[in-house]
Amino acid sequence: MNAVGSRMFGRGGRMRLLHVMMVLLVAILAACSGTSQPVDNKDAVGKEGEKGQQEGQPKPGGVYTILSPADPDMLDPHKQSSIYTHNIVGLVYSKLLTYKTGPDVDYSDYVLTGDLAEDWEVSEDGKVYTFHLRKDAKWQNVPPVNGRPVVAEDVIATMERIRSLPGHQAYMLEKVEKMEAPDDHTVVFTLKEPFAPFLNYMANHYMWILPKEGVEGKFDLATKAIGSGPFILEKWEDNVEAILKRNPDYYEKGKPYLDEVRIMVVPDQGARIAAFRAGQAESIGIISPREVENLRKSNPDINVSKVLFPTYVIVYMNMTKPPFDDLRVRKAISMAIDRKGLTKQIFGDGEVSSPVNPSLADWGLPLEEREALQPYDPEKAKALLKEAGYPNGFSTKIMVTNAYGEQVIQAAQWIAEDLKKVGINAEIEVVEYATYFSKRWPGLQYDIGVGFQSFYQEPDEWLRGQLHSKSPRNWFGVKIPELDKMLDEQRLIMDEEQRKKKVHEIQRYVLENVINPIPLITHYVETPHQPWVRDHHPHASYGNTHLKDVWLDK
Amino acid sequence: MKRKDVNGVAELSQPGLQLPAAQRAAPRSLFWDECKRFVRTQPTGALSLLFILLMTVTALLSPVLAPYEPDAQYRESIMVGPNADFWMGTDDLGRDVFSRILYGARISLYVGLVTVVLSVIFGTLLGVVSGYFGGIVDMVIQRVMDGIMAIPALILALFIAALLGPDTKHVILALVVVETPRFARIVRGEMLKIRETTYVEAAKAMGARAWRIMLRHGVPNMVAPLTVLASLAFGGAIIAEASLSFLGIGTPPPNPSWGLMLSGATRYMENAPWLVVFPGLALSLSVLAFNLLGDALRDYFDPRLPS
Repeated sequence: MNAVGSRMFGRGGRMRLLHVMMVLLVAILAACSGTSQPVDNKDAVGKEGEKGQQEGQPKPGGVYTILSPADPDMLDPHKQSSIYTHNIVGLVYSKLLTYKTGPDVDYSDYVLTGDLAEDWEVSEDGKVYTFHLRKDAKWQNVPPVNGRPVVAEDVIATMERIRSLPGHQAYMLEKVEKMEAPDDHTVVFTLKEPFAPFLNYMANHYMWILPKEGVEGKFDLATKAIGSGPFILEKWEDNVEAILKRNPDYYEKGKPYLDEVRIMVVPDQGARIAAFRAGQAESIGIISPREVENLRKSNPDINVSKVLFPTYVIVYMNMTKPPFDDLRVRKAISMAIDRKGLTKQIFGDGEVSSPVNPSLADWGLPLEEREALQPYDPEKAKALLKEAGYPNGFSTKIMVTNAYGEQVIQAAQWIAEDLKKVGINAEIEVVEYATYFSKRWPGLQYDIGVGFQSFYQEPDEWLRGQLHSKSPRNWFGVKIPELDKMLDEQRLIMDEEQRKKKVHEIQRYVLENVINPIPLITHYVETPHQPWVRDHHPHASYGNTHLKDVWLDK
Repeated sequence: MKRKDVNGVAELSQPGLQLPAAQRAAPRSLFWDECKRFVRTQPTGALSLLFILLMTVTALLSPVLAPYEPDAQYRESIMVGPNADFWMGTDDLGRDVFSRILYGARISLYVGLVTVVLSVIFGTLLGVVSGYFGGIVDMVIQRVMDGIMAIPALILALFIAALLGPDTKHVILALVVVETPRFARIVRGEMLKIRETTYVEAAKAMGARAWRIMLRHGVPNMVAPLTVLASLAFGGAIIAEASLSFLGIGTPPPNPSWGLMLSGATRYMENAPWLVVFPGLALSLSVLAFNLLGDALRDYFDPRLPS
């Protein structure tokens, strides 16, 4: 059960890594030249509040300790979407493509770069993708792979496995018609039709490349991870700790700098903060702004990174039954909620969101539009309800789970109060996580729900994933043929600018004619870091891929 | 007439016996005599009883006494300390802590009362049957009770409540399951003693049926230990509800359960201590009152102590 694990992260079981800005630019460049030169359009801004991250001469050595609130129940990356699985195995495995990390890349900047693939090409018609594997990548020197080179056969075996297993990651490869390995270091994917999200999906955390021995069952993928990445998994004791040691044969020479990464399970937030205070841990994850304030009092030298949470709070309604099948009622509910107040009081700092979360840079609508399309107007809300036939409001229930943490429950109470002011009497129902995520939400056994959405990282998932009538994640009852058509169309547009226009058009349509789910707000989250940690540039994607660059100044 | 000697009941029911007027009018003034004696000899207990009565009155009259609605959010005054408008300050959603404390008393008392009443009823039934009949009935019932008591109380309650979901009703169910065996055991012990007394023998000889014996002779003699246990159990139930709500599997938000209020407050302990202090005090004082009352009652009923 990922209940505890899902506390702050709002997944419900599936996480996707998707690239935004640079992927199509890169794809276009790749189509022309076949090399990837990630270009930064943004100002290279370090994260707010950070200090002391000097360029220095990296010192090898040291142990980096991470305290985690939960542990995955297994390590198999294709069967488990939990962030906790990927945070461990991401240190051990590599992908064909990954997201760049570094001082010039922001937390939510999705800049594609090669990992096992040193370069790649996309054909003119967008249907053939050719990846050239680097020749110096080797499997870790651990039986049964014993340090042999990574070859195309391993990639194909992994992809076949992904396609054969049930689960959402298979849909990332659904347009693939055939996969071939013309030689040991080349992999060619031929698609049935152009598919704009494809490169993004290749960098997704489901795409960790496994050695053929793993696919064949020569070691147990659920309890062991043997990859080509910067760290070797020496020990994993479920619900206790994971110990990873530096891989001396890693293809990026000199890296990783750290000797060891240790991930220990400490469910209590107070205990994690205490350990951090005492200097016993380098990373403890997200804590609330007030807790950060308190920490600064006792440890004034810490660095705090503040990043936009990669998803939003959703307020969703069951559109298959009255009164939520009436657009006016949905609009009224949306207008009744004081988003700014809620953000300020409960989350500290944040902003109104759009169907594609602004953590995907400018794939989301610009802030002014988001605010203009989702005004706070309780009077208008009451008028709309009257028009829809509910002059005295109505009674309903708000479903919320306790697995996402205290703030979501507070948000539900705030919203209930807002709805009361327009005459809607909402009773809050707290549901435990497994029931919430496997039964009540997907089964549409609710009136209104409040929670976090998953960390989608491709506009395709934010939009088509949630709103297409045939999508397995449409747990809202949305069924609009015109919308379905638009959602199918945007997948075929390979030109980034054109696709972006279409994606914005779809979002405006949704905010005016669908208003379900309501992308309420997205907020900033703060993580504290010890002053001796250098070159620490985390990324929103799963896998702790930035740890290969980190060194300790101790 | 010594209170312990409940033979008086049997004697009164026999026809033809003339008792002095004072004794015939016994029940009413006897009770008040008891009360006065209790206050005199157990001042702490009396004080606790007073506190509990006050708490009950407060709980019943909370809509009248509370200055604000417990759920009303005053968003311009979020997390303010105690002041003229909000006597105990406000919480993270701007709700008046004082009003919530008053309404919270209802939840605590409700849970305590229903738990104790149900536990007493079921426990007495089981204990009396078990003690009176003995043999295989006794053995089966006792093994089941032992089984339940072998599991640490809070763990069992936690398990049941977590299984069923966050709801006050589920908390009560869990607590009744946990408390009943304790009552059953006491009642059984008393029943075994009473079974052997001469008046029960006489009643049996007169042809009285089992249930009549159990109810007319058994139960009235157990009132003392039951009262003591009930008082302690009441306090225990209040704490248990608070604990379960604190852990998120008891009374769900936005209800002002004191345990739930504490749970939300721990994150803000350094910035807003009043959020912890007031629910904490309310809980401590209530449970203390019930415990002291239970202790006082036990001392009062102890035949060895001057009464």
